[in-house]
Amino acid sequence: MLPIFATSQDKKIEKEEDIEREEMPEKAQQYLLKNLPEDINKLRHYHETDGDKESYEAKFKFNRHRFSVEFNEKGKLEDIEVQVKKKDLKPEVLKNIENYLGQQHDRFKLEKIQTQYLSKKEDAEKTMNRAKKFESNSPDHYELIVATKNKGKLKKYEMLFDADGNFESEREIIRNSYDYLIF
Amino acid sequence: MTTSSSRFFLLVIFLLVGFTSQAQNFAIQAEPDIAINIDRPNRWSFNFGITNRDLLYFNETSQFKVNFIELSHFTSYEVGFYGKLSLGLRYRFNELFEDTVEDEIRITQQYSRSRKYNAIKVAHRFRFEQRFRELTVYRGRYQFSVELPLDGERIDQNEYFLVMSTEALLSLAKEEKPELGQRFDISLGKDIGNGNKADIGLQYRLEDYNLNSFHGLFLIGGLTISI
Repeated sequence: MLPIFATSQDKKIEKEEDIEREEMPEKAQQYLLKNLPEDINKLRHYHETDGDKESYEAKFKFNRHRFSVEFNEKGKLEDIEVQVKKKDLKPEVLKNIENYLGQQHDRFKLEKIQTQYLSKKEDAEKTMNRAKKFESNSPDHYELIVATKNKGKLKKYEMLFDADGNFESEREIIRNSYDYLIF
Repeated sequence: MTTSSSRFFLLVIFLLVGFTSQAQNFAIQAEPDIAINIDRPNRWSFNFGITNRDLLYFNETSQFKVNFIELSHFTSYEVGFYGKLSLGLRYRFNELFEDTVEDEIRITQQYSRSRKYNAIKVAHRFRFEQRFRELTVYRGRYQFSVELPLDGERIDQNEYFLVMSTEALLSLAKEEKPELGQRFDISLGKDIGNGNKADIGLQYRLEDYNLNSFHGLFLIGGLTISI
């Protein structure tokens, strides 16, 4: 799931919507038919645009974990992300991540952890096989949603760490006010 | 909006109207509101609201009668990762519209918490109120609400969403027996851009159900502007 990102200059119209499988590019449909594991549930398809870039996603649950398979606008596999818990991370990786966050912020909370498997040089089939064995395979990146508190103010970020838990990049997530729910 | 969710929404409305309109001790009222939320880059946020209540149906007859206009303000301070502490002040102009009811001042202390779990947003709200009117009433309230987008996993501009909530209320006053109440809300909202929202919905209230129960249906809706 890609949250709404802060854009520094002009505001782009971002939209993510439900679609049917038939509305995905042919190549993506073929890939899903061929590579989706058998015992999955809650399979849903999405189309997403940020004004410039378009992408397609298939999301489902496999082995009690949420999988998210992302394709570019032509239907080529970009990456597969698997939502995991803190306890699923290798202790040394978690330690590196938490050390970094502890140095940068007064307080922090890991809200969501996804292991990310990129499909760059390898066969797209291989990427799915690596993702399916996420419990024993080291991913290319960890993608985290982190809530941070500095001087009492809450901010949320999407952060990318490498396979060893070294920080790579971050983007701030705009938080919408939820005041209409509480007043 | 997907067909299944709009069907569900219609079904709930028909059921609510069907059940309640047959009963006695029943009223239909409307309560539109406009709210402005100001979120500061620090831990503070401010909320200003204006609302009015109109009686539309009572004693098995349709009518139109303005009950009150109300101004409200809340100042909030972020606590922890998901919490907010708020202090609220409300003034309800009753005397302008009714001879027998005095104006009311209400002070509210509130703690709320809200968190998003993938597509679903969940909020808890605890309130303690002092209502200064003919008889001073102390009221404790707890509300649980859930919000879900109707297209995709997040609410984008021009997209619809559904909010469902329930609230339990306990009112205490000197020389009066405690009164219990329960409310159920369902509303359909739309993100109209820049964080502003419009919504329309129904609220079913079961008041005083431990003593002389009375129930009512409220047509609720409004506009929330975020600055």
